[in-house]
Amino acid sequence: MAAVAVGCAVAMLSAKNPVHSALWLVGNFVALAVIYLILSAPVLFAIQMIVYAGAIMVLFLFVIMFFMAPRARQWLRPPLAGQLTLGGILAVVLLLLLMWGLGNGAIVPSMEPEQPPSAAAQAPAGEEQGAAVPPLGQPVELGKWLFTWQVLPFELTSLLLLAALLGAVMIARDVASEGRERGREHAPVVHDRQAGGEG
Amino acid sequence: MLNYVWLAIAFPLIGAAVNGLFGRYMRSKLVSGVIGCTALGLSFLVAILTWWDYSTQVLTLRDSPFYQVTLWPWIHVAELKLDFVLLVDPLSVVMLLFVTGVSFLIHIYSTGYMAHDEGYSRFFSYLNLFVAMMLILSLGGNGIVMFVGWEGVGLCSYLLIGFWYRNMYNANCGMKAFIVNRIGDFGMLIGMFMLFSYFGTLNFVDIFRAAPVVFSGVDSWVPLAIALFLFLGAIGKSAQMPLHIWLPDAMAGPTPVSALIHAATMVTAGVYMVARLNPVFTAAPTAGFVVALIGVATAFVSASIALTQNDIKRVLAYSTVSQLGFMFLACGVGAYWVAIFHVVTHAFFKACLFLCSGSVIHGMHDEQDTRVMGGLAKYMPWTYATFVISTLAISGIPPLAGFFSKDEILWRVAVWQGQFGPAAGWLWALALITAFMTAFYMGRVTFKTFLGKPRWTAQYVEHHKHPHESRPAMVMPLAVLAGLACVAGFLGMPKWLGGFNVIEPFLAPSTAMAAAAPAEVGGAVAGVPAEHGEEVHQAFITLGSTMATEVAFAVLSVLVGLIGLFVLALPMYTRRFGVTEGLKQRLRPLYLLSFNKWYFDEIYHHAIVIPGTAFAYTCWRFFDLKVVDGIVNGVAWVLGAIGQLIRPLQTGFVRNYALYMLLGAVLFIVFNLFK
Amino acid sequence: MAAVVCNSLILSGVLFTMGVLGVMVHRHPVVIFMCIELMLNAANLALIAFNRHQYSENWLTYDGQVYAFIVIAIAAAEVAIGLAIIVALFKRRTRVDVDEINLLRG
Repeated sequence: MAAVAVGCAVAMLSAKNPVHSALWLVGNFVALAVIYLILSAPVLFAIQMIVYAGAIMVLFLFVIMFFMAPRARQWLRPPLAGQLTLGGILAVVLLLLLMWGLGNGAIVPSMEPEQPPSAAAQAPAGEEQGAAVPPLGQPVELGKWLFTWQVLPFELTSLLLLAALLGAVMIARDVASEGRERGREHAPVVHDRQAGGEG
Repeated sequence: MLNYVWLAIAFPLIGAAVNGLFGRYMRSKLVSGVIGCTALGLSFLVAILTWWDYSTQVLTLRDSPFYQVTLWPWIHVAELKLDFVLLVDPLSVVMLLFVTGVSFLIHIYSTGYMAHDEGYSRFFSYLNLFVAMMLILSLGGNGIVMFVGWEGVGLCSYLLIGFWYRNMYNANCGMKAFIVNRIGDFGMLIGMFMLFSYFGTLNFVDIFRAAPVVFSGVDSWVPLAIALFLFLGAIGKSAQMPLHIWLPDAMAGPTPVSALIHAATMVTAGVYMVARLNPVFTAAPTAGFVVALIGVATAFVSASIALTQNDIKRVLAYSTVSQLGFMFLACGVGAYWVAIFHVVTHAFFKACLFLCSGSVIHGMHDEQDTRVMGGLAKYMPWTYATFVISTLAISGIPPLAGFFSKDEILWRVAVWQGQFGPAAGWLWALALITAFMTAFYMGRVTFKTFLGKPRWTAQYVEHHKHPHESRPAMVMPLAVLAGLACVAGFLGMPKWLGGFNVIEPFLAPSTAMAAAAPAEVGGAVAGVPAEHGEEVHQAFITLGSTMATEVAFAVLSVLVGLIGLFVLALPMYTRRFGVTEGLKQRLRPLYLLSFNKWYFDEIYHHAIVIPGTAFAYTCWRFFDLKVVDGIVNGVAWVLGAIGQLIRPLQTGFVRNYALYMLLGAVLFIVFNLFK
Repeated sequence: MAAVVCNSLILSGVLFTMGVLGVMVHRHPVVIFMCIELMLNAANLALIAFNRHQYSENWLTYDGQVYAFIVIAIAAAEVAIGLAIIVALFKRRTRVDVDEINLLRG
């Protein structure tokens, strides 16, 4: 699975066509989802498949299609000087650092964090008997965890999603066409300094 | 009253403030004049009361004639403790009296003289301020208070000389006075610093008490240096050679200013200072000789210049310089009380002379050149009379005041016993010649101005028929001053005329301190006799030892004055005018030397002013423009260069910025991994 | 189990670096964005791997998975906004190239 993931990533990077890149990314996501499953996170496997590979990539593809004018694919500008070399060097350095860190155990903490009292002390009602521990990854367990211990981030995330939704609508709206639809006097006054094709 | 002596300073200060701040809002000019004169009148009253208080308490003050009034603690820094202290002792009482008195009269005079001037209240404001500063100077109990007054009178002198500031010439004269004064102040400050470093205090009383001890414990050059530096300050302030150049040009100011500042008070500040710090001078006999030498040289040179000047005020200015030289001569030989005596009498008759000349100028509609005057006696009788009285006084004709003080000076010089005694003869001779010249040029001025045929008719035809006498406000002070010039001499009569001498014993606690010094002070102390009398005659070796000698000297000086005045000047200037022209031609080099003020100004200009301005110019061109501006511009340039260096980082491309972020992240990880 | 976790972590690192490289190199804004998503996923993988590593009888925790879940949610939000921005930027341009956005050049 790891190889699959890496391969998909490489392919994504090297694809000339953005659509191809997107499709390879989907493959990468699927591979990762399977790895999640291996790591005893079935909930996330499902979520990854649905949200990421399903919704997000679809969105990406929509936008890519949006820009698929025939001329859009040509790089008329020369590539930036030094970007590839320096970026490559730094990326390699980063990789080495990460590996080194992993190898030294500096990144993986070895100490045991403190135990939240309720989860260990009380047994979930009716789910287990005696000292038996439910295996990792049960959706029920995750749900319990999510709605008790981590309820705050959960709620905040929902707020965030709301904000993002509104923001996206605001950013990408076309004020000129709005004016056209509703009549001139309804068009909001915006000084669009960005107008004009070339940068 | 002794504790309230500061009121004498406060009244003129308030007057100055009121006139200065509110003068322009006063509807009538009279108010400013009244305020100014009243302030001075009150000050004079305080002076009299203080004197009365002091004299009647003299018994209780026997052990300490110095009465200090501490107004407020001022500078307390580490070992430096200086308070604003006023000192009431005989010397300061004398100064207080005559400064306030003469100033009061001059203020009254000014109400008349400046009546048509638009800066009327400004004038009185400055004048009051000046008196306040002069009183601070005279009443100061330590060096720093005195210095406050010292600088203050210099400032007021500048303000008043350049009173009619719209004329550039007047402003320049004011600047010249102030700058030359400052040169002297440098010496004064060094003297003060040395005093402080050796005595640990600048308080006069403490210095007086400690002087014998301190000076016996240091090398002999110490009091000499202190004395010379302090005297440098006096040279600047009292217009002695070589810093006398500012006084004649100070005549650009209004005549009351000349009378007050440059005749009676400010220029005597130098004499006062030397008299005040006389223990220092007596501890350094060489300094005394230097003082006497410069004094007599100044007297001689400036008298010679006065012989040929045509501007009536300039003659009087050089006369002032000359008389100041006499005063310093007296100080130099150790006769401090005589110097102060001459200060007082000179204040009276010189102020009278100046005010008379102001009256003449006023009457002649601002004409100052004696060559176009003449025959004014019958049109300005009061002015004429008082002028003549003062001329007689300055020439040393008894029984007017000048005789007593000037003759006493000549006598003291002649019997000088210090280690430079043998030179006394030369000093005396020069002084005598100077006295002769004094009589001569004063007679010349008198006769040219008031007697003889009128030479001013041409320019007067269209204005009036003839000049007229001045108004009472101006004439009254003239009369008072002339009267004082008549009687003031009787304060210090010599022994052979009865010995009614009140001024010497009165001043003795302040000026005769050498008598209290232990015998081991210095080697040959300049023999200052504590009393006038037998001691003098005992010490008198070469010139006889009887009172008759003194009388002979007196008669000699009177004769000299009479000859100068009547035998030479009168005929020359009233009847035989041709003589002067002939003399001028035959003695042409001398005439030129005298007329051009011995070329002092020209020498200074070429030796100091021109190199100075060249140096300043060079400093500007090179140092200021290149170095200082270079540094400032250079800093700016460096900053700009740094900006230019870093500028390429701002490419505007997002990917480059992402690269920078990655770089930062990598560095961060490295740092955290390996720390 | 430890081997899986270890390998997952290595994979996470590799994927992350590849995402970084992609962001540096690509010029199409959407592709850059996809590389960012790749990085996020790598982080998620690490989180889940750690969760797996931490879970034991004494220590019942699902923190890693919860965080991964939230990251996914956040990534979704970010995608929405990011694509909106890209759309707004390049709407009227002919060339779709990140280097065109250089008005802040100094």
